[in-house]
Amino acid sequence: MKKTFIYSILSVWLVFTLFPIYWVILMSFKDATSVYAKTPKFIPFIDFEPTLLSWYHIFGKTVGGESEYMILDAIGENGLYLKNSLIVSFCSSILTITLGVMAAYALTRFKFKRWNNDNISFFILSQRMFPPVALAMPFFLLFHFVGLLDNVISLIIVYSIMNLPIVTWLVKEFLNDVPIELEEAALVDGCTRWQALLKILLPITVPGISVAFLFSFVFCWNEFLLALSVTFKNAKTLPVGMAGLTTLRGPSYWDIAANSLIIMIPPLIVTIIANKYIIRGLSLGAVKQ
Amino acid sequence: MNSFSEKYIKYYFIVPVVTYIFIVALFPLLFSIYMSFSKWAPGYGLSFIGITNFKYIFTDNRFYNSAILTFIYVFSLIFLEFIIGTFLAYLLHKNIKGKNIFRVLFMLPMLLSPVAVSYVWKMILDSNIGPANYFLSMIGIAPIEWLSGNYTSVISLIIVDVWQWTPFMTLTILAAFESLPKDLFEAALVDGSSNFSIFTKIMFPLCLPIIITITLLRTIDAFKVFDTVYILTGGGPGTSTEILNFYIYLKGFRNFDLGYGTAMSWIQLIVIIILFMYVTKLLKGSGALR
Repeated sequence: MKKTFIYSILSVWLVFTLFPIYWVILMSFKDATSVYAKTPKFIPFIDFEPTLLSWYHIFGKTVGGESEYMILDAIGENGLYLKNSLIVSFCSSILTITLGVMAAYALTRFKFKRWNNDNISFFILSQRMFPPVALAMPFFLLFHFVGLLDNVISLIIVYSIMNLPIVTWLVKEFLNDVPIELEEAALVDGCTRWQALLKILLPITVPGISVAFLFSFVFCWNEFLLALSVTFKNAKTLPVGMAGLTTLRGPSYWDIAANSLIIMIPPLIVTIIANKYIIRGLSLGAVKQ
Repeated sequence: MNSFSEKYIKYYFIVPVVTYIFIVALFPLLFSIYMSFSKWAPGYGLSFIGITNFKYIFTDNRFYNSAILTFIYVFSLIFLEFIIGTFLAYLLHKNIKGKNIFRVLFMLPMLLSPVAVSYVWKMILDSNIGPANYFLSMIGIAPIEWLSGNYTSVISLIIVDVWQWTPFMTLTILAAFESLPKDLFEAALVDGSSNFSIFTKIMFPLCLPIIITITLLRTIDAFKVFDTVYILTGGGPGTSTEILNFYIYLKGFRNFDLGYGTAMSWIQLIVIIILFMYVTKLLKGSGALR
Protein backbone atom coordinates (compact mmCIF):
# COMPACT_ATOMS: atom_id res chain seq x y z
CA MET A 1 0.00 0.00 0.00
CA LYS A 2 1.20 3.50 -0.84
CA LYS A 3 2.50 5.57 2.08
CA THR A 4 0.60 8.62 0.82
CA PHE A 5 -2.67 6.67 0.93
CA ILE A 6 -2.01 5.59 4.53
CA TYR A 7 -1.16 9.12 5.60
CA SER A 8 -4.17 10.64 3.90
CA ILE A 9 -6.60 8.18 5.55
CA LEU A 10 -4.99 8.73 8.96
CA SER A 11 -5.07 12.49 8.46
CA VAL A 12 -8.76 12.43 7.55
CA TRP A 13 -9.50 10.69 10.84
CA LEU A 14 -7.19 13.09 12.66
CA VAL A 15 -9.08 16.10 11.30
CA PHE A 16 -12.38 14.46 12.26
CA THR A 17 -11.01 13.84 15.78
CA LEU A 18 -9.53 17.26 16.35
CA PHE A 19 -12.10 19.47 14.63
CA PRO A 20 -14.70 19.38 17.46
CA ILE A 21 -12.02 20.27 20.01
CA TYR A 22 -10.80 23.12 17.80
CA TRP A 23 -14.37 24.26 17.25
CA VAL A 24 -15.24 24.48 20.95
CA ILE A 25 -12.09 26.51 21.66
CA LEU A 26 -12.98 28.79 18.75
CA MET A 27 -16.60 29.21 19.88
CA SER A 28 -15.54 30.27 23.35
CA PHE A 29 -13.80 33.32 21.83
CA LYS A 30 -16.75 34.40 19.70
CA ASP A 31 -19.63 36.78 20.36
CA ALA A 32 -23.21 36.80 19.04
CA THR A 33 -22.30 38.48 15.74
CA SER A 34 -19.65 35.96 14.77
CA VAL A 35 -21.65 32.95 16.02
CA TYR A 36 -24.80 33.89 14.13
CA ALA A 37 -22.99 35.05 11.00
CA LYS A 38 -24.25 33.73 7.66
CA THR A 39 -21.33 31.36 7.16
CA PRO A 40 -19.40 29.75 10.04
CA LYS A 41 -16.18 31.57 10.94
CA PHE A 42 -13.16 29.28 11.17
CA ILE A 43 -10.05 31.40 11.60
CA PRO A 44 -9.63 33.94 14.40
CA PHE A 45 -8.36 37.46 13.55
CA ILE A 46 -8.97 36.85 9.82
CA ASP A 47 -12.59 35.62 9.79
CA PHE A 48 -13.68 37.28 13.00
CA GLU A 49 -12.39 39.30 15.90
CA PRO A 50 -11.94 37.06 18.99
CA THR A 51 -13.36 38.31 22.26
CA LEU A 52 -12.97 37.27 25.89
CA LEU A 53 -16.67 37.89 26.58
CA SER A 54 -17.60 34.34 27.61
CA TRP A 55 -14.47 33.98 29.72
CA TYR A 56 -15.45 37.07 31.69
CA HIS A 57 -18.86 35.46 32.19
CA ILE A 58 -17.32 32.20 33.40
CA PHE A 59 -15.46 34.06 36.12
CA GLY A 60 -18.61 35.96 37.10
CA LYS A 61 -17.76 39.34 35.58
CA THR A 62 -20.06 41.51 33.49
CA VAL A 63 -18.92 43.22 30.32
CA GLY A 64 -20.23 46.60 29.20
CA GLY A 65 -23.88 47.18 30.02
CA GLU A 66 -24.80 43.60 30.93
CA SER A 67 -26.85 42.99 34.07
CA GLU A 68 -25.80 40.65 36.87
CA TYR A 69 -28.82 38.53 36.02
CA MET A 70 -27.42 37.74 32.58
CA ILE A 71 -24.25 36.41 34.16
CA LEU A 72 -26.19 34.12 36.46
CA ASP A 73 -28.15 33.00 33.42
CA ALA A 74 -24.96 32.24 31.54
CA ILE A 75 -23.02 30.36 34.19
CA GLY A 76 -25.43 29.50 37.00
CA GLU A 77 -23.52 29.09 40.21
CA ASN A 78 -20.37 27.85 38.55
CA GLY A 79 -18.24 28.52 41.64
CA LEU A 80 -20.36 26.18 43.74
CA TYR A 81 -20.49 23.50 41.02
CA LEU A 82 -16.73 23.68 40.56
CA LYS A 83 -16.15 23.35 44.31
CA ASN A 84 -18.51 20.35 44.49
CA SER A 85 -16.89 18.68 41.49
CA LEU A 86 -13.44 19.09 43.01
CA ILE A 87 -14.46 17.85 46.48
CA VAL A 88 -16.37 14.85 45.13
CA SER A 89 -13.72 13.80 42.60
CA PHE A 90 -10.87 14.18 45.07
CA CYS A 91 -12.45 12.51 48.14
CA SER A 92 -14.01 9.73 46.12
CA SER A 93 -10.72 8.95 44.38
CA ILE A 94 -8.85 8.83 47.69
CA LEU A 95 -11.44 6.38 49.05
CA THR A 96 -11.35 4.26 45.90
CA ILE A 97 -7.56 4.17 45.84
CA THR A 98 -7.41 3.05 49.48
CA LEU A 99 -9.87 0.22 48.88
CA GLY A 100 -8.37 -0.61 45.49
CA VAL A 101 -4.81 -0.88 46.80
CA MET A 102 -5.94 -3.16 49.64
CA ALA A 103 -7.86 -5.42 47.27
CA ALA A 104 -5.09 -5.44 44.69
CA TYR A 105 -2.44 -6.21 47.30
CA ALA A 106 -4.45 -9.10 48.71
CA LEU A 107 -5.19 -10.49 45.25
CA THR A 108 -1.60 -10.36 44.03
CA ARG A 109 0.21 -11.44 47.22
CA PHE A 110 -2.04 -14.04 48.83
CA LYS A 111 -3.94 -17.12 47.76
CA PHE A 112 -7.57 -17.33 48.85
CA LYS A 113 -8.48 -20.99 48.89
CA ARG A 114 -12.15 -20.89 49.74
CA TRP A 115 -13.10 -17.86 47.69
CA ASN A 116 -10.53 -18.27 44.92
CA ASN A 117 -8.67 -15.17 43.71
CA ASP A 118 -10.27 -15.25 40.27
CA ASN A 119 -13.75 -15.27 41.76
CA ILE A 120 -12.98 -12.26 43.93
CA SER A 121 -11.52 -10.42 40.94
CA PHE A 122 -14.58 -11.23 38.89
CA PHE A 123 -16.85 -10.15 41.74
CA ILE A 124 -15.14 -6.76 41.86
CA LEU A 125 -15.14 -6.46 38.10
CA SER A 126 -18.81 -7.39 37.75
CA GLN A 127 -19.72 -4.08 39.41
CA ARG A 128 -18.91 -2.51 36.08
CA MET A 129 -21.67 -4.38 34.21
CA PHE A 130 -24.66 -2.52 35.61
CA PRO A 131 -26.04 0.42 33.67
CA PRO A 132 -25.85 3.45 36.00
CA VAL A 133 -29.57 4.07 35.58
CA ALA A 134 -30.27 0.71 37.27
CA LEU A 135 -28.28 1.87 40.30
CA ALA A 136 -29.55 5.44 40.28
CA MET A 137 -33.07 4.52 41.39
CA PRO A 138 -32.24 2.38 44.45
CA PHE A 139 -29.52 4.89 45.41
CA PHE A 140 -32.05 7.69 45.16
CA LEU A 141 -34.47 5.96 47.55
CA LEU A 142 -31.81 4.78 49.99
CA PHE A 143 -30.21 8.21 50.20
CA HIS A 144 -33.71 9.64 50.60
CA PHE A 145 -34.29 7.33 53.58
CA VAL A 146 -31.03 8.26 55.29
CA GLY A 147 -31.30 11.94 54.42
CA LEU A 148 -28.24 12.13 52.18
CA LEU A 149 -29.94 13.38 49.03
CA ASP A 150 -28.33 16.47 47.53
CA ASN A 151 -25.23 15.89 49.65
CA VAL A 152 -21.70 15.49 48.32
CA ILE A 153 -21.21 12.47 50.62
CA SER A 154 -23.72 10.46 48.62
CA LEU A 155 -21.83 11.17 45.40
CA ILE A 156 -18.50 10.27 47.00
CA ILE A 157 -19.90 6.87 48.01
CA VAL A 158 -21.58 6.17 44.67
CA TYR A 159 -18.49 7.07 42.64
CA SER A 160 -16.19 4.99 44.81
CA ILE A 161 -18.21 1.91 43.83
CA MET A 162 -18.29 2.95 40.20
CA ASN A 163 -14.50 3.32 39.99
CA LEU A 164 -13.40 0.47 42.23
CA PRO A 165 -13.17 -2.13 39.41
CA ILE A 166 -10.88 -0.11 37.14
CA VAL A 167 -8.71 1.10 40.03
CA THR A 168 -8.30 -2.40 41.49
CA TRP A 169 -7.49 -3.75 38.05
CA LEU A 170 -4.89 -1.10 37.30
CA VAL A 171 -3.16 -1.27 40.67
CA LYS A 172 -3.14 -5.07 40.43
CA GLU A 173 -1.29 -4.84 37.14
CA PHE A 174 1.28 -2.47 38.61
CA LEU A 175 1.78 -4.61 41.72
CA ASN A 176 2.26 -7.66 39.52
CA ASP A 177 5.24 -5.91 37.94
CA VAL A 178 7.04 -5.59 41.28
CA PRO A 179 9.10 -8.68 42.15
CA ILE A 180 7.79 -10.43 45.23
CA GLU A 181 11.35 -11.06 46.48
CA LEU A 182 11.60 -7.41 47.46
CA GLU A 183 8.93 -7.80 50.10
CA GLU A 184 10.12 -11.19 51.18
CA ALA A 185 13.48 -9.65 51.97
CA ALA A 186 11.76 -6.96 54.02
CA LEU A 187 9.66 -9.54 55.85
CA VAL A 188 12.77 -11.56 56.69
CA ASP A 189 14.37 -8.38 58.02
CA GLY A 190 11.51 -8.10 60.50
CA CYS A 191 9.02 -5.82 58.79
CA THR A 192 5.33 -6.54 59.32
CA ARG A 193 3.04 -6.96 56.33
CA TRP A 194 1.68 -3.42 56.73
CA GLN A 195 5.18 -1.99 56.93
CA ALA A 196 6.20 -3.96 53.87
CA LEU A 197 3.21 -2.58 51.97
CA LEU A 198 3.54 1.03 53.17
CA LYS A 199 7.32 1.39 53.20
CA ILE A 200 8.55 -0.89 50.41
CA LEU A 201 5.79 -1.52 47.90
CA LEU A 202 3.86 1.76 47.81
CA PRO A 203 6.86 4.02 47.12
CA ILE A 204 7.78 1.88 44.11
CA THR A 205 4.25 1.86 42.76
CA VAL A 206 3.57 5.59 43.24
CA PRO A 207 3.53 6.21 39.46
CA GLY A 208 0.99 3.43 38.91
CA ILE A 209 -1.18 4.53 41.78
CA SER A 210 -1.13 8.14 40.57
CA VAL A 211 -2.32 6.96 37.17
CA ALA A 212 -5.18 5.07 38.83
CA PHE A 213 -5.95 8.17 40.89
CA LEU A 214 -6.04 10.41 37.81
CA PHE A 215 -8.40 8.05 35.97
CA SER A 216 -10.68 7.80 38.95
CA PHE A 217 -10.63 11.59 39.28
CA VAL A 218 -11.57 12.10 35.65
CA PHE A 219 -14.41 9.56 35.73
CA CYS A 220 -15.88 11.29 38.81
CA TRP A 221 -15.38 14.65 37.17
CA ASN A 222 -17.26 13.54 34.02
CA GLU A 223 -20.06 11.52 35.61
CA PHE A 224 -23.51 12.85 34.85
CA LEU A 225 -26.46 10.47 35.31
CA LEU A 226 -25.92 9.56 38.97
CA ALA A 227 -25.15 13.15 39.90
CA LEU A 228 -28.28 14.25 38.07
CA SER A 229 -30.37 11.73 40.02
CA VAL A 230 -29.21 12.39 43.57
CA THR A 231 -28.46 16.13 43.57
CA PHE A 232 -30.82 19.09 43.08
CA LYS A 233 -29.22 22.24 44.28
CA ASN A 234 -26.41 22.35 46.82
CA ALA A 235 -24.43 19.32 45.66
CA LYS A 236 -24.70 19.80 41.89
CA THR A 237 -21.49 19.08 40.00
CA LEU A 238 -20.27 20.96 36.91
CA PRO A 239 -21.87 18.70 34.24
CA VAL A 240 -25.25 18.76 36.02
CA GLY A 241 -25.04 22.50 36.54
CA MET A 242 -24.27 22.94 32.88
CA ALA A 243 -27.08 20.69 31.71
CA GLY A 244 -29.51 22.75 33.77
CA LEU A 245 -28.50 25.96 32.02
CA THR A 246 -29.93 25.13 28.60
CA THR A 247 -33.46 25.16 29.91
CA LEU A 248 -33.06 28.71 31.16
CA ARG A 249 -31.81 30.49 28.09
CA GLY A 250 -31.56 30.39 24.36
CA PRO A 251 -28.46 29.00 22.73
CA SER A 252 -25.78 31.51 23.77
CA TYR A 253 -23.23 29.17 22.29
CA TRP A 254 -20.19 31.19 23.33
CA ASP A 255 -20.98 30.66 27.04
CA ILE A 256 -21.83 27.00 26.47
CA ALA A 257 -18.48 26.60 24.72
CA ALA A 258 -16.54 28.15 27.58
CA ASN A 259 -18.44 25.97 30.07
CA SER A 260 -17.68 22.84 28.00
CA LEU A 261 -14.02 23.76 27.82
CA ILE A 262 -13.79 24.12 31.60
CA ILE A 263 -15.18 20.58 31.93
CA MET A 264 -12.90 19.26 29.17
CA ILE A 265 -9.61 20.64 30.47
CA PRO A 266 -8.82 18.10 33.26
CA PRO A 267 -9.51 15.06 31.03
CA LEU A 268 -7.35 16.53 28.26
CA ILE A 269 -4.47 17.07 30.68
CA VAL A 270 -4.79 13.53 32.04
CA THR A 271 -4.92 12.12 28.51
CA ILE A 272 -1.67 13.83 27.64
CA ILE A 273 0.28 12.97 30.79
CA ALA A 274 -1.03 9.42 31.24
CA ASN A 275 -1.46 8.44 27.58
CA LYS A 276 0.68 5.33 28.01
CA TYR A 277 -1.78 3.80 30.45
CA ILE A 278 -5.15 4.80 29.03
CA ILE A 279 -5.60 1.82 26.74
CA ARG A 280 -4.39 -0.59 29.39
CA GLY A 281 -6.70 0.97 31.95
CA LEU A 282 -9.83 1.21 29.85
CA SER A 283 -9.48 -2.32 28.52
CA LEU A 284 -9.11 -3.52 32.13
CA GLY A 285 -5.81 -5.17 31.39
CA ALA A 286 -7.09 -7.11 28.38
CA VAL A 287 -4.42 -5.33 26.36
CA LYS A 288 -0.84 -4.60 27.39
CA GLN A 289 1.27 -1.93 25.80
CA MET B 1 5.48 -12.68 63.55
CA ASN B 2 3.24 -15.44 64.77
CA SER B 3 1.61 -17.88 62.42
CA PHE B 4 -1.91 -16.91 63.47
CA SER B 5 -1.67 -13.37 62.19
CA GLU B 6 0.17 -14.51 59.06
CA LYS B 7 -2.67 -16.90 58.30
CA TYR B 8 -5.41 -14.34 58.78
CA ILE B 9 -3.69 -11.14 57.71
CA LYS B 10 -4.80 -11.59 54.13
CA TYR B 11 -8.41 -11.22 55.28
CA TYR B 12 -7.61 -7.85 56.80
CA PHE B 13 -6.95 -6.68 53.25
CA ILE B 14 -9.83 -8.25 51.39
CA VAL B 15 -12.69 -8.31 53.90
CA PRO B 16 -13.12 -4.51 54.15
CA VAL B 17 -13.29 -4.24 50.37
CA VAL B 18 -15.76 -7.09 49.92
CA THR B 19 -17.88 -5.79 52.81
CA TYR B 20 -17.89 -2.31 51.32
CA ILE B 21 -19.09 -3.68 47.98
CA PHE B 22 -21.78 -5.70 49.73
CA ILE B 23 -23.11 -2.70 51.64
CA VAL B 24 -22.78 -0.02 48.99
CA ALA B 25 -23.41 -1.93 45.76
CA LEU B 26 -25.10 -5.27 46.41
CA PHE B 27 -27.53 -4.06 49.02
CA PRO B 28 -28.93 -1.32 46.73
CA LEU B 29 -29.13 -3.91 43.98
CA LEU B 30 -31.11 -6.34 46.16
CA PHE B 31 -33.19 -3.45 47.37
CA SER B 32 -33.96 -2.55 43.76
CA ILE B 33 -35.40 -6.05 43.24
CA TYR B 34 -37.85 -5.26 46.01
CA MET B 35 -38.48 -1.85 44.45
CA SER B 36 -39.39 -3.43 41.14
CA PHE B 37 -42.29 -5.21 42.85
CA SER B 38 -43.43 -2.04 44.59
CA LYS B 39 -44.93 1.34 44.00
CA TRP B 40 -43.33 4.46 45.40
CA ALA B 41 -44.93 7.84 45.75
CA PRO B 42 -43.32 10.85 47.42
CA GLY B 43 -44.74 11.12 50.91
CA TYR B 44 -46.36 7.67 50.91
CA GLY B 45 -43.29 5.46 50.78
CA LEU B 46 -42.98 2.01 49.23
CA SER B 47 -45.93 -0.34 48.96
CA PHE B 48 -45.69 -3.89 47.64
CA ILE B 49 -47.83 -4.45 44.55
CA GLY B 50 -46.61 -7.82 43.26
CA ILE B 51 -45.88 -8.29 39.57
CA THR B 52 -48.03 -5.41 38.34
CA ASN B 53 -44.99 -3.48 37.09
CA PHE B 54 -43.73 -6.43 35.07
CA LYS B 55 -47.20 -7.11 33.64
CA TYR B 56 -47.38 -3.52 32.54
CA ILE B 57 -44.05 -3.74 30.70
CA PHE B 58 -45.51 -6.31 28.32
CA THR B 59 -48.21 -3.92 27.21
CA ASP B 60 -46.00 -0.85 27.06
CA ASN B 61 -45.31 -0.02 23.42
CA ARG B 62 -42.94 2.77 24.35
CA PHE B 63 -40.79 0.19 26.15
CA TYR B 64 -40.65 -2.03 23.05
CA ASN B 65 -39.80 0.87 20.80
CA SER B 66 -36.99 2.07 23.01
CA ALA B 67 -35.65 -1.48 23.46
CA ILE B 68 -35.54 -2.00 19.69
CA LEU B 69 -33.98 1.42 19.21
CA THR B 70 -31.33 0.61 21.84
CA PHE B 71 -30.34 -2.57 20.03
CA ILE B 72 -30.21 -0.83 16.65
CA TYR B 73 -28.14 1.97 18.15
CA VAL B 74 -25.70 -0.33 19.98
CA PHE B 75 -25.16 -2.74 17.10
CA SER B 76 -24.70 -0.11 14.44
CA LEU B 77 -22.14 1.81 16.43
CA ILE B 78 -20.28 -1.35 17.47
CA PHE B 79 -20.23 -2.43 13.83
CA LEU B 80 -18.89 0.95 12.66
CA GLU B 81 -16.32 1.23 15.44
CA PHE B 82 -15.15 -2.31 14.80
CA ILE B 83 -14.68 -1.79 11.06
CA ILE B 84 -13.11 1.67 11.28
CA GLY B 85 -11.08 0.71 14.35
CA THR B 86 -9.60 -2.40 12.73
CA PHE B 87 -8.84 -0.52 9.51
CA LEU B 88 -7.07 2.36 11.29
CA ALA B 89 -5.14 -0.09 13.48
CA TYR B 90 -4.02 -1.95 10.35
CA LEU B 91 -2.78 1.32 8.82
CA LEU B 92 -1.05 2.43 12.01
CA HIS B 93 0.64 -0.94 12.34
CA LYS B 94 2.63 -0.34 9.14
CA ASN B 95 5.79 1.29 10.35
CA ILE B 96 4.92 4.87 9.59
CA LYS B 97 6.58 8.00 10.86
CA GLY B 98 4.86 9.90 13.65
CA LYS B 99 2.93 6.86 14.81
CA ASN B 100 3.12 7.99 18.42
CA ILE B 101 1.80 11.44 17.62
CA PHE B 102 -1.16 9.90 15.80
CA ARG B 103 -1.75 7.60 18.77
CA VAL B 104 -1.84 10.36 21.36
CA LEU B 105 -3.95 12.69 19.23
CA PHE B 106 -6.45 9.93 18.37
CA MET B 107 -6.78 9.33 22.09
CA LEU B 108 -7.91 12.84 22.98
CA PRO B 109 -11.70 12.32 22.77
CA MET B 110 -11.83 9.20 24.94
CA LEU B 111 -11.68 10.65 28.44
CA LEU B 112 -13.73 13.77 27.68
CA SER B 113 -16.97 14.33 29.55
CA PRO B 114 -19.90 13.06 27.46
CA VAL B 115 -21.90 16.09 28.57
CA ALA B 116 -19.32 18.55 27.27
CA VAL B 117 -18.82 16.48 24.13
CA SER B 118 -22.56 16.48 23.46
CA TYR B 119 -22.70 20.26 23.71
CA VAL B 120 -19.78 20.57 21.31
CA TRP B 121 -21.52 18.33 18.79
CA LYS B 122 -24.76 20.21 19.32
CA MET B 123 -22.95 23.31 18.09
CA ILE B 124 -21.39 21.51 15.16
CA LEU B 125 -24.61 19.82 14.06
CA ASP B 126 -26.81 22.91 14.53
CA SER B 127 -28.77 23.01 11.30
CA ASN B 128 -28.54 26.78 10.83
CA ILE B 129 -25.15 27.92 12.09
CA GLY B 130 -23.24 24.64 12.52
CA PRO B 131 -20.22 23.87 10.36
CA ALA B 132 -21.47 20.34 9.52
CA ASN B 133 -24.13 21.62 7.14
CA TYR B 134 -21.72 24.25 5.84
CA PHE B 135 -19.22 21.54 4.82
CA LEU B 136 -22.04 19.57 3.18
CA SER B 137 -23.15 22.66 1.28
CA MET B 138 -19.61 23.04 -0.11
CA ILE B 139 -19.96 19.66 -1.82
CA GLY B 140 -23.50 20.48 -2.87
CA ILE B 141 -25.56 18.56 -0.33
CA ALA B 142 -28.70 20.21 1.01
CA PRO B 143 -28.73 21.10 4.73
CA ILE B 144 -29.69 18.23 7.02
CA GLU B 145 -31.83 18.57 10.14
CA TRP B 146 -29.28 16.68 12.23
CA LEU B 147 -31.02 16.87 15.57
CA SER B 148 -34.66 17.20 14.66
CA GLY B 149 -35.19 14.51 12.03
CA ASN B 150 -36.53 11.07 12.98
CA TYR B 151 -33.62 9.10 11.57
CA THR B 152 -30.94 11.75 11.38
CA SER B 153 -31.13 12.32 15.13
CA VAL B 154 -30.28 8.65 15.73
CA ILE B 155 -27.46 8.95 13.21
CA SER B 156 -26.17 12.02 15.06
CA LEU B 157 -26.02 10.05 18.31
CA ILE B 158 -24.12 7.28 16.54
CA ILE B 159 -21.67 9.79 15.02
CA VAL B 160 -20.87 11.21 18.45
CA ASP B 161 -20.19 7.78 19.92
CA VAL B 162 -18.11 6.73 16.91
CA TRP B 163 -16.11 9.95 17.26
CA GLN B 164 -15.43 9.34 20.93
CA TRP B 165 -14.88 5.58 21.07
CA THR B 166 -13.43 4.40 17.74
CA PRO B 167 -9.95 5.34 19.04
CA PHE B 168 -10.42 2.82 21.83
CA MET B 169 -10.97 0.03 19.29
CA THR B 170 -8.14 1.31 17.07
CA LEU B 171 -5.56 1.50 19.83
CA THR B 172 -6.46 -1.77 21.58
CA ILE B 173 -6.38 -3.66 18.29
CA LEU B 174 -3.12 -1.92 17.41
CA ALA B 175 -1.66 -3.02 20.75
CA ALA B 176 -2.76 -6.58 19.98
CA PHE B 177 -1.09 -6.43 16.54
CA GLU B 178 2.09 -5.09 18.10
CA SER B 179 2.20 -7.92 20.62
CA LEU B 180 2.60 -10.45 17.79
CA PRO B 181 6.19 -11.67 17.32
CA LYS B 182 8.03 -9.83 14.53
CA ASP B 183 9.56 -12.92 12.93
CA LEU B 184 6.06 -14.14 12.09
CA PHE B 185 5.71 -11.35 9.53
CA GLU B 186 9.22 -11.85 8.18
CA ALA B 187 8.58 -15.55 7.62
CA ALA B 188 5.32 -14.79 5.84
CA LEU B 189 6.98 -12.15 3.66
CA VAL B 190 9.76 -14.54 2.75
CA ASP B 191 7.10 -17.06 1.74
CA GLY B 192 5.79 -14.41 -0.64
CA SER B 193 2.50 -13.68 1.07
CA SER B 194 0.91 -10.37 0.18
CA ASN B 195 0.35 -7.68 2.80
CA PHE B 196 -3.37 -8.23 2.73
CA SER B 197 -3.19 -11.99 3.13
CA ILE B 198 -0.81 -11.54 6.07
CA PHE B 199 -3.56 -9.46 7.63
CA THR B 200 -6.43 -11.84 6.92
CA LYS B 201 -4.55 -15.08 7.53
CA ILE B 202 -2.15 -14.22 10.36
CA MET B 203 -2.73 -10.96 12.18
CA PHE B 204 -6.50 -10.98 12.40
CA PRO B 205 -7.02 -14.65 13.40
CA LEU B 206 -4.23 -14.51 16.01
CA CYS B 207 -5.61 -11.36 17.56
CA LEU B 208 -9.23 -12.45 17.32
CA PRO B 209 -9.67 -13.44 20.99
CA ILE B 210 -8.48 -10.04 22.18
CA ILE B 211 -10.49 -8.21 19.53
CA ILE B 212 -13.63 -10.06 20.64
CA THR B 213 -12.95 -9.31 24.32
CA ILE B 214 -12.53 -5.63 23.50
CA THR B 215 -15.67 -5.56 21.39
CA LEU B 216 -17.67 -7.16 24.20
CA LEU B 217 -16.33 -4.60 26.67
CA ARG B 218 -17.27 -1.80 24.29
CA THR B 219 -20.75 -3.31 23.86
CA ILE B 220 -21.33 -3.36 27.61
CA ASP B 221 -20.39 0.32 27.75
CA ALA B 222 -22.49 1.20 24.71
CA PHE B 223 -25.59 -0.15 26.47
CA LYS B 224 -24.98 2.40 29.23
CA VAL B 225 -25.54 5.39 26.90
CA PHE B 226 -27.49 8.22 28.47
CA ASP B 227 -25.63 11.53 28.59
CA THR B 228 -25.49 12.14 24.84
CA VAL B 229 -29.21 11.43 24.45
CA TYR B 230 -30.09 13.72 27.36
CA ILE B 231 -28.08 16.67 26.05
CA LEU B 232 -28.17 16.23 22.30
CA THR B 233 -31.76 15.25 21.55
CA GLY B 234 -33.64 14.87 24.85
CA GLY B 235 -35.17 11.69 23.42
CA GLY B 236 -36.77 13.61 20.59
CA PRO B 237 -38.08 14.46 18.15
CA GLY B 238 -41.12 12.72 19.63
CA THR B 239 -39.71 9.49 20.97
CA SER B 240 -37.39 8.76 18.04
CA THR B 241 -34.16 8.79 20.07
CA GLU B 242 -35.65 7.50 23.28
CA ILE B 243 -32.99 4.94 24.20
CA LEU B 244 -34.09 2.51 26.94
CA ASN B 245 -31.91 4.11 29.63
CA PHE B 246 -33.44 7.47 28.83
CA TYR B 247 -37.01 6.11 28.98
CA ILE B 248 -36.22 4.44 32.31
CA TYR B 249 -34.85 7.73 33.59
CA LEU B 250 -37.96 9.62 32.47
CA LYS B 251 -40.26 7.12 34.16
CA GLY B 252 -38.19 6.97 37.32
CA PHE B 253 -37.21 10.58 37.88
CA ARG B 254 -39.70 12.68 35.93
CA ASN B 255 -42.86 10.67 36.69
CA PHE B 256 -41.37 9.37 39.94
CA ASP B 257 -42.55 5.90 39.01
CA LEU B 258 -39.42 4.37 40.55
CA GLY B 259 -40.96 0.90 40.82
CA TYR B 260 -41.74 0.72 37.13
CA GLY B 261 -38.33 2.18 36.27
CA THR B 262 -36.44 -0.44 38.26
CA ALA B 263 -38.63 -3.21 36.82
CA MET B 264 -37.63 -2.10 33.32
CA SER B 265 -33.97 -1.78 34.22
CA TRP B 266 -34.01 -5.35 35.57
CA ILE B 267 -35.57 -6.67 32.37
CA GLN B 268 -32.88 -4.81 30.42
CA LEU B 269 -30.10 -6.17 32.61
CA ILE B 270 -31.37 -9.75 32.36
CA VAL B 271 -31.68 -9.56 28.58
CA ILE B 272 -28.15 -8.15 28.27
CA ILE B 273 -26.68 -10.82 30.56
CA ILE B 274 -28.44 -13.65 28.69
CA LEU B 275 -27.26 -12.19 25.42
CA PHE B 276 -23.68 -12.05 26.64
CA MET B 277 -23.72 -15.57 28.04
CA TYR B 278 -25.10 -16.80 24.72
CA VAL B 279 -22.53 -14.88 22.66
CA THR B 280 -19.55 -15.99 24.76
CA LYS B 281 -20.79 -19.60 24.68
CA LEU B 282 -21.15 -19.40 20.91
CA LEU B 283 -17.68 -17.90 20.54
CA LYS B 284 -16.09 -20.44 22.85
CA GLY B 285 -17.83 -23.24 20.94
CA SER B 286 -16.41 -22.00 17.65
CA GLY B 287 -12.95 -21.64 19.21
CA ALA B 288 -12.76 -17.89 18.67
CA LEU B 289 -12.61 -17.18 22.38
CA ARG B 290 -10.61 -19.07 24.94
